Amino acid sequence: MQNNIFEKNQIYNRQLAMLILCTAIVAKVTSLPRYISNNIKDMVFLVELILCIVEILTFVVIYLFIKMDGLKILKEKSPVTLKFLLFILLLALIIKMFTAFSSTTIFIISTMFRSVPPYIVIVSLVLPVVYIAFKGLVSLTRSAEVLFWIIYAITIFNLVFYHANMDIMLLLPLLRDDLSVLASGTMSVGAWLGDLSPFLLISLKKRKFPYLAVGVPINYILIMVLVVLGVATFGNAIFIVENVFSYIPIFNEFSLTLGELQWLGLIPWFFMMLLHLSVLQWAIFEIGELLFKKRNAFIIIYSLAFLIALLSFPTLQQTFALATMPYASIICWIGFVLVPFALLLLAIISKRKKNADDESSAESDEQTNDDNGQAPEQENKLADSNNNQNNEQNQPQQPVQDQQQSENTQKNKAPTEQKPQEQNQPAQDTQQSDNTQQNKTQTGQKPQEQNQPMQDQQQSKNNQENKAQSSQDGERQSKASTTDTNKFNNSEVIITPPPVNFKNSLLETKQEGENS
Amino acid sequence: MKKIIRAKWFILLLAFAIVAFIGRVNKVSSIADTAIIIGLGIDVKNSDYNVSVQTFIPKGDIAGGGVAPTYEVYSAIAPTVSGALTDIGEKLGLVLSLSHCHIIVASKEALDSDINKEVQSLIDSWHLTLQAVMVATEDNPDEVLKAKIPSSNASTSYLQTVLRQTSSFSNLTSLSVKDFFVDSYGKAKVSAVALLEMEELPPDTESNSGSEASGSGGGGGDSSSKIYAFTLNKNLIFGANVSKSFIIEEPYAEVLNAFQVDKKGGRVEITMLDGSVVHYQTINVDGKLKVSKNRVDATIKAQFVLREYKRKGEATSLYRLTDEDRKEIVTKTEEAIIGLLKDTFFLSKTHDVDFFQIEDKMYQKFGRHWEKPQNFLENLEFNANAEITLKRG
Repeated sequence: MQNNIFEKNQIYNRQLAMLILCTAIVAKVTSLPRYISNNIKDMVFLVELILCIVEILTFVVIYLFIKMDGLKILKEKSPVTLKFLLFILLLALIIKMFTAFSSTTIFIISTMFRSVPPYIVIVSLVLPVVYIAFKGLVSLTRSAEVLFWIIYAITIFNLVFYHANMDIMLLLPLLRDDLSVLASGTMSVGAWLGDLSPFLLISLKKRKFPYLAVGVPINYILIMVLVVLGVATFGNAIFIVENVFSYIPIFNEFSLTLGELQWLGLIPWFFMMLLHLSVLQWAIFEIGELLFKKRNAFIIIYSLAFLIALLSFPTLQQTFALATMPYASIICWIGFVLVPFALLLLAIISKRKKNADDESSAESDEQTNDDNGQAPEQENKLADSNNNQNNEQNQPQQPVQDQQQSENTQKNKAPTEQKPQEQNQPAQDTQQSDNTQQNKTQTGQKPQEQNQPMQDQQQSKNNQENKAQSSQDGERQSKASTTDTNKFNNSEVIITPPPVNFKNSLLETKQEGENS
Repeated sequence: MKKIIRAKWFILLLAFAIVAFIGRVNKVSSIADTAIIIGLGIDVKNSDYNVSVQTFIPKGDIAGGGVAPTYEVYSAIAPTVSGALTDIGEKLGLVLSLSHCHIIVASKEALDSDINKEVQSLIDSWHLTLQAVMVATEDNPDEVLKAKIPSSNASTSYLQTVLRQTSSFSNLTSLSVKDFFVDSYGKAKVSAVALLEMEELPPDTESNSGSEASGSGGGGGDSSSKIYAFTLNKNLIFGANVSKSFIIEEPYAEVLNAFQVDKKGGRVEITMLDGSVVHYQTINVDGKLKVSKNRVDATIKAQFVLREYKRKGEATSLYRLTDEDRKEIVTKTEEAIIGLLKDTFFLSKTHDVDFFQIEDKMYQKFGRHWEKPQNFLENLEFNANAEITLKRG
C-alpha cells in the first residue's frame, strides 16, 4: 500500500508542466491583487513579483526532492520527521484550501449567481472537487491535458485582442511604503503561496524535452503579464476588480461588436480554478493517507469536516478573513517554503548516510576478504566497477531504482558475509552459476521502453534483484578465480549486456499484477 | 464503494442531481421580467439623488417578428443611487439590469458630490460594466435621456456610438468608468469628462417627424416632440481635489485629450496665430509629459494628413502647395499647438487644478518620498513642445 502511493502518483514531466500551467495561475490573479491593493498600500506588482520568485525557488527545491525520490528515502530513514513536516504542510494546505475555496465561491456568487444562497454554491463546488481529488492524480493530469488547450486558446485570444486605455507608468513607484510594510505585507499573503507544493508528493518520469524548464517560467511570466496588465489598466483602483483574469476579456477589440466578452474569461478561469482546488484537495488526501494510513476514512472525515466548516460560518467573507489571519499566513509560509527546504535537506542527509553505510559495509567486506587472504583487491575492484557500470547505466533512467537497489544491497549484506564458508563449498558455487543463468534469463527480459510506468516499476525491481545477485555472484566468482580458473569464467555474466525482450516482461508484469 | 464511485452512471446521476438541485433552489428571472437599462442619468437635488434610467423593452408581436424597440425613461429620488434604482424596479415591477448600460449622464452637481462611491456601488451591486462612458451635462440628465435626436432612436445609442468609437471621433473625450476610477485613485484626483450640450433644432427639421415608436416616453411632456442636437466638444473638470467643477473650451479640451489616450483617427481643425485655418485628418496624436524637479516638458507629437488650408480667409488648393508651403504650415501648426498648450497650463494654474496630472508623474518619478510642495502649479516651470509630421493623404 505504501509503495502504491509512490507508484500511482507517477506522471511525466510534460503532464506536470501542463498541470502547473492549468492550476498555478488562478490563485495569484483572482483575489490576490484586490487583497494586496487593500492591505499592502497598492504594491501589487512588487508583492506578486516576490511571491513568484519565492514560488520558482521553492519549485527548484521541490523538483530536486522529487527527482531524488526524497519521499521514499525519508519514509525509510526518517519516518517520524517526515510525518511531522508533512503535518505542517497539511495544515498549510488546509488553510490555502479554505482561502482559495472561499474567494472562489465569493467570486462565483457575486459574478454569476447573485440570487443563489451560498450554501448551494459551496455544496455544488465541494462535490466535484472532492470527487476529482478522490479519483487521483492520473485523472487530474488527464483533465489538465484536455483542458490545457481550451484554456490557453481562449487566454491567448483574450491577450492578443486586449484593448484598453492603459499606462505602464502606473506601476511606479514600485516601493510605495517602508520595507517593513512590504515585508509584513508579503508575510500576510502566505495563503497564496504553495501552488506547486502538492507536487512534492509525486514521482516524475522524464521525457527528453525539458517541459518543466519551459512550463514553470511560462506560468510565472504569464502571472506577471496579467498583473502588469491589471495594474497598467486599473492603477490604484485595481481593488474594484475581483478577478483580473476574468476582467481582461472585457476590454476586447471586439467588445463593441460582440458585446462584453467576460464569459471568455470566466470559462478558462472556472476550469483552472476547479483543477486548482482539486489538486489542493488531492494533496490533502495524499498527506492524510501518508499520515493516517486509512485513505478512504480520511477522505470521508476530512471532506465532511471541510464542508461543515465552510457552511458553519455565517458569511464566506468571514471564512476568507479567518483563513488570511496572520497566524494562518505564517503557517502557510512555513508549510510552503520551509517545509520543502527541510524535506530536501533531510532527504540529502538521509541519502548520504545511506551511502556511507553502504560504503562502510563494503569496506568491512573487503577487510574480511583480506583477512582470509583469498580475494585480491584488483579483482574485487573489477567486480565493483562492473557493478558501478550497471548502476550508472540504470541511474539516469530510473531514479526510483536507486532506492530499491539500496534496499536490496542491504538485504544482500548478510549473504556476502557468508563468503568464506561458500568458498569451501564447491557445490554451492554450482548452484550459484545456476542462479546466474536464471539472472541472465531475467536480465534478458529487461524492458528499455519508458512509456509504461507500471512496467518500469516491475522492471526496476527485476533489475535490482538481478544486479544485487549479479554483484554477489561476481564477488564470489572473483574470489573463486584464485583457486579455479573455470569458475572465474562464470563471472562474465556481470559484463554481458542482456538482449531486450519487451513482450515477455510485459506479460510477466500483467500476470504478476493479476496474481497480486 | 470504489466500484460504485467509479461507475459512469454514478457520475451522471451526481451531475444531474447537482443541476437539478441548483435549478430547484435558484430563482431564475425570465427576460420578460427584466428591464434592460441602456442609459443612466444621475442628478443631485437637495442632497438626494435623482436617478433616471432609459430602458429598452421589446414590444410587439414577437411570433410575427414585428418587434419594435421602445425606449422609456423612468426616474426616482432617493438618498443613494442604489436606493433610487430599487424604487424604479419596484415601480416597474421588473428586475433592473445595468449590465448593458454603456452611458452614464451626470449633472455638474452630481459630479461635485461623492459620486465615486455611488458608481462603485453600481459596479458591485448592479453589474455596471467598467466600459460604460461618463458624460457631464449642465442640463437635467433626465431631459438628456428623453431627448430625441435626428440620427438615432435613443440618445444613449448615439452617445455610445460617438464616445466609444474613438477611431472616428478622436477629438472627443471618452471617460470610461474604469478611467474615472484610475483618475480618482491617482494623486491628482482630477478627471476630465465630455460636456454634453443640447441644442433644440427648429421644428421644420426633416427628422423632426420621426416615428412615434422611436420616441421617448415615461412622462416626457414637451420634450417628446422636440428634436435636439448634441455637442460634446467641451470638457468638464471635476474630482476630489476640485472644489467646484468647471468647464474648459474646445481647443483646450482637445489639447488635454491628447494626454489622456493615444488618439488615432478622426479630424481636427487648428486656427493659427495669423488667423489661417488648417483642417487635418488625424493619424496619430500622442501627448507626453516629462517631469524634473520643478519643471515639466509637455510635448505633443502628431501625424496629420492635410485636408484643407484656408490662408487668411482664402481657400488654397492643396495641389498647388509647395514643399516650402507645407513646411510653413507645419511650423505654424506647431506654434499654434505650443500656444494652446501654454494656455491650457495657464488655465490649470488659474483654477489651481492639476488636470494634466503632473502630480502623478512626479510621484511616479520621485517615488514615495516626494511630497507636493506649496503652490505646486504656481512654481512649476512649464515647457511646451510640438512635433508635427505631415503625411501624404
